[in-house]
This record gives sequence, structure tokens and C-alpha cells, in this order.
Amino acid sequence: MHIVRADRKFLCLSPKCDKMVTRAEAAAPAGREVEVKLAVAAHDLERLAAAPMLTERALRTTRRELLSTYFDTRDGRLWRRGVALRVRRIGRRRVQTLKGPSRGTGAAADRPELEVAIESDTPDLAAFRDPLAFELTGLVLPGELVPVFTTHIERTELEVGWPSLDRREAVVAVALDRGRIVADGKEEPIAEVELELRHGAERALAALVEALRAIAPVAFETRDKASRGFALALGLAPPPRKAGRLALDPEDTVAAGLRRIGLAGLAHAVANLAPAADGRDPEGVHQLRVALRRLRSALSLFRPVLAETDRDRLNGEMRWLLGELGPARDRDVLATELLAAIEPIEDLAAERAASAELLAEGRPALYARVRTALESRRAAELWLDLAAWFELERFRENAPEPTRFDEPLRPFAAERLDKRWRQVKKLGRRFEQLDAERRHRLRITLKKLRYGVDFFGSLWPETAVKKLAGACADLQDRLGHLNDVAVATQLARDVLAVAGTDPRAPSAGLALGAVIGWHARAGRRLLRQAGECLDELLAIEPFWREAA
Amino acid sequence: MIRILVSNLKGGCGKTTIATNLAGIFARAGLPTALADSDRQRSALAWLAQRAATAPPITGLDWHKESGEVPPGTARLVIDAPAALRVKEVEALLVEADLVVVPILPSLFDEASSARFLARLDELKPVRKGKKPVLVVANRLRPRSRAGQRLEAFLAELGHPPVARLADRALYGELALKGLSVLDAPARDAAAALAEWQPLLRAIEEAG
Repeated sequence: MHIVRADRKFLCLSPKCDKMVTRAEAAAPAGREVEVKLAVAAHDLERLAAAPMLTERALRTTRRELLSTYFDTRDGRLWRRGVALRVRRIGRRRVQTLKGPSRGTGAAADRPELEVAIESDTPDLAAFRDPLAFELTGLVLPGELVPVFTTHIERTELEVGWPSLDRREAVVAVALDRGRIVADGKEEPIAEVELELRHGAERALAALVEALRAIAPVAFETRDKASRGFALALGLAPPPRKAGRLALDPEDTVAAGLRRIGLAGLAHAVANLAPAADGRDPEGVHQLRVALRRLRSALSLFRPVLAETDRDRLNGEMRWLLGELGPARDRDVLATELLAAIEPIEDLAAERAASAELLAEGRPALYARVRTALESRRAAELWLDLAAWFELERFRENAPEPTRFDEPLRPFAAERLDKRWRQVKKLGRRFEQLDAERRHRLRITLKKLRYGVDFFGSLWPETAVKKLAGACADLQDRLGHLNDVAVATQLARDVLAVAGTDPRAPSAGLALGAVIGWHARAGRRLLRQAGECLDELLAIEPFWREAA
Repeated sequence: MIRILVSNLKGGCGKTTIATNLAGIFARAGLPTALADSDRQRSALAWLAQRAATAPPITGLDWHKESGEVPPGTARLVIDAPAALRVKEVEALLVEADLVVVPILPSLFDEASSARFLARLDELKPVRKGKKPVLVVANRLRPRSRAGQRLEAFLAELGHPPVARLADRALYGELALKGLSVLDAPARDAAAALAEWQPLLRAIEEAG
């Protein structure tokens, strides 16, 4: 399934948008695209186009056929630079468009875009009459640009007036696109709805998504047409993305904080849906799991103000999805990070190869499970639920004391961080004597503290936050590796159980045994280091106390 | 902007041919291009003076006394370094560049000085730290000649395998008279020559 692409303010879910700043206050967009993309079934497009909810509010309806050809050099240089060059036929006109990579630098962060009318179907970079064009493309020799793929689209566009919270009407362009991407004889259907905010409050987009959901099943679409076309034509895997930095405002309320943290987490998750389903880069599933854990952590940090029913429901769904992704991730960890430990042992090369083979053979089935989960209605509903819950502040609805959401965020954050801090302190007492179970609990609590510091850190001076976050990371690193022994043992058992009577099983067993032994031996050194790291962490005066 | 220094200690290795062709190729591709001449003989600027008025413009910069300003908006700057340059002087010019292109001929007489030059270059901090790549071009090769094979082996040993191999062609002389580059020639004459330039062009783009 494919999910959202939108801007940094509403849901910055574009795979190319590396800054994920969400802002609580809705304002008219100035010179930016604020949009959401939804994937729908082709047969539902008609139904949506005819829905009274849209037609009755439509200020204008147009139908157009768009034929766009995307160009690149034969070695895909433009695409690798994050640049897309397109010539679009609109009736008799030809419009050439060049889009650059998104530049994530503060408020001015935007995807540069040049557009010019040209005479023929052949691209002409000089026609832009802008040095920026060459800066974006680099050296392109005459004749080097070739068509890579085309998109054929029938677009019905409705301009819809939508009431927003402050009773000012927002105007949203709803484009219902149906068609196909064609590359080199390969073809992929397109059926999507693009909502672009023309003016008004950004929340109108989320409200409109909710209304569309009631008419037909929709899902967020994360990839734009260019990404899909290049993936189809060049066989490129969609790139995974890490969590962006969160910028909270010291003036934020509890609700605003929850909203921003939630939307950033959601953006991180959906940006990695396509990479996770693709599976070629193990980082995709990993980042998606990180995003889900961060979202769960956010719910736990805001626990005192949230309705238990909401929290349980969302947590349950996220836990389900984490469970579906887990086996694939575990396999990847074993095959890459853990198995690498015995690489220097030349005598075990054959055994290591045997276990690598067994692990590689098991991978497709595990990723099929990942794909089934991600393409399910259940997952699509989860993302839509989260989007509405955070963006439209549905979390207020069942909350035990809704007024608490309007309290200032900073003291709330300080209190929550302090609670985690005290838990870490308590769990870390007499660290050397902790058994594996207690060490595990310390590790989990520490992770929650760390996410909390990540989420709320921007409310305090950067250096103090960095110091504490760094000390957390050092300790997490050691505890994580200590945990590797347990993980490796469990995974090795699972792999060998599945391998059964496979003739390579004994060899693989030997290699995996060596892996476990290596990590167990490393454990003693790590334990000492972890103790030191814990002392260093606890010696820090937490930044939230200084400011309080 | 990508700034390219074309340099070798020894004269007559085709420095100016490479510098002028690079500038001509960039200009033909539509990039705002400047060509800086640091050589007392000013042969790069002489090439520019011959340039046909119909050819895409290139800004000439006379740097033979000292390096100066580059016009704003320049996308590619090619610097033709003087021959018989001391390492100190290379270091000074290197500040103005993002990478160095070193043309080397398949000649026994060139080997010793080229080896010394490359070794010195490798010692300079930005090169040593991998910040400014050194791209060696095997220049004026004759097909299947023994000298060419020798050069390959020699460069491999120095740890500087050639990025591109340019054949000895009469075409370059003809184009130079008109202030043109290999990309300005009719395709049927220049296709093979242009193909030889591709790896160098790509390496420059990647370094920039």
C-alpha cells in the first residue's frame, strides 16, 4: 500500500521531505504546496467524484487529459540527484517542469520548481533561462536526455469550499487521477486522489480526508508519480528515511505538543512504508519499527491526559503491526549485524556461508508477511486513524479531563521526563548485580527516557539536551549489545528449528553457536562499560530541572 | 560551481587542449563557464580569441599574474595552470579548485616528472584527505601502442589509474584553430572522440 505525500505543515509525509516540522497553528500556505495524496481503488474514483459531499460544494469542476513524459540520462543521473524533468502535454500546449530535491533548511525549505512553456516534446534546459536549472541537473550533454517513462492521466478536478474551524472557508483542489504509468513496456495503474490546499486552514485537509473515508476505502499514498515511474523504469528501491528533528515551541500547549510529536511520528512511519514493503533495503522495516515504537512511546509519555480506551486501541494496533514486522527485522539483524562477528574466523567461512544461505532463503516469506500486513485494510485504517486523531485532535474526545490539554507543555514535559529519570535511577541501582530480566527492564525504561528527550528536547537549550541524550545513547548502545546474546540465541534456535533436516543445518548451527559465544564473551567487557555509562548519565543534572 | 585545475609540471602534455575542450564542452551544454589562464604564454586565452562568435560564450580570465575574481553565476571554472610549476604554486592554485586534472603522455621522458608531481600532489592536505580528487588523463594515446600499455602499468603502480584515455587526433588541432571543442564538431567526426571524454566528464561531475 502507498501512503501520504504532503507538506511539512500538515503531514510532511513525502519521502523526499526530510524536515518534519509540524505547526499547530493553521495558517494560509504561502508559496508552498500543502497537499495530501490518497490511494483508492480505481472503481471507487467515480463514486468519489459523484459524491454529493464534493459535488455540492464544488466551486468549479474541470476534466483534463494529461500526458507527461519524464526524461533522464541513460545512467539515471537526474534521478540520483533528486531531480525530475518532465514535459507535459496539455491539449496543444507543452509545459516543461523541473523539480529539484527538497531543501530542508528551516521555513524556506521547499522543493525548487521551474516551469516553462516550450514548443516541442523534447526537453530544453536552456528554455528555463535560469542558472538554477543547470545547478540542479549538472552537466547534461546535448542529446543525452532520453524519455524514461510516461504517465497518462485523466484528471477530474473539483475546487471545493470546505468549512474550517474558525468558520472561514478553506478552498481545496481535489484532483481525482486515473490512468497509468508506462515504462519500457511495463505498466502500473494509477488511481489516486490529490488534495491540495488553495487557501485556508490546513486542518481542512484532514477533515476532508475523514469525509472521503466515509465514502470509500482510501489509504495514504507516499510516493509521487515520478518516484513510482523511476522505480518502475529503473528498478530502484525507494529510499528509507530516519526520524526528522522535532521543533516544538516553548509556547505550545500539551495538545499542540502531542499533535506535533504524533504527526512527526506518523510522517516517519509512512515515509518508510514503501521501503519496508519493497524489502531490498533492510533499513525500511527497521525505520518503520522505530517510528512505531516512537509513536507508542509518545502515547505512553502523554498517558496522564489520554483516554485509556483510545490509548489501548491505538497501542494494540501498533503492537499488532510491530509483531508482523518483527520476524523480518530479526532475521535481518542476525544475517547482517550479528553474523558479522565471526567474519574474521576464516576456518568458519563455509559454516558462515551456510547460515547466511539459510537466512537468505527464509527472507522472502518473512517479507511477504510484511507486505500482507502493510497492504491490509487494517494498516491503512491505522494510519488514517492516527492522522485524524493527531491532526484533528480527536484525542480530546474521550479524554478524562480535556482541559489539561490546554495547559502549557513545558512543565508537563518536565514532569514526565522526571518520572522516567527517577525510574531509570531506581532500576539502575546496584547495576552489577542485576539479572538479565531487570537489565532488560532498565533498557526499555531508558529507551522511553531517550525518546522523551528526543521529543521534548527542543523546549530546552540545545547543549544541555545534547549532553544528556549523548549519555543515554552511550548506555543504550552497551545495553543493546548485551541484549544481543539473548537475541542471537533465540534467533538461532528459531532458524535451526525451521531448517529441520536441511543438510546445511549442522554447519549453520556451528556458525550460529560461534556467534552466540562471541557475543557472550563480549558481554563481560560491555557490562563493565555499561556500569560506567550509567554512572556518567546519573551524574548529569537533568536539563528540565534546571529550568523549572 | 565546480572548479577544475588542469595541471602538470611538464609542458607539452596537452594541458591547454584539455582545459579548452572542457570549457568548450561545458559551454555547449549550456553551463555558464569561465576559463582562467595562469600560464604566461596565455595559450588558453589565445584559443578563446579564435572562438567563433556563434559558439556559446565562455568568460576568459587572465590569471597569469595572480588568481582573481570569478564572475557570479559561473557554474564551471576551468583553470589552465602554467607549466614548470613549483609545488608551492600548485598548492596556491589548488585553493581555487575542487579537483585536479593531470594529463600524462605515454612517453618515457614524462614518467619521472609525472611520478614526482603526483607524489607531491598526494602529499598536499586536501588531496591526502580525499577532499580534492586527482584525475589522471592518459593523453595522446596511439591505438595498441606499446607506450600506451607501459603508461597503464606505470600509472597503476603509482596508484593513479587513468580516469580517461584520449587518443591522439588531428581533430583537436583543427578545432583549436577555431576556438572550438570536441562537442562543437559535427557528430560524425567527433563521436568516437567524445566517447573518450565521457568518463572524465562524469568523474568531474561526481567530484563537484
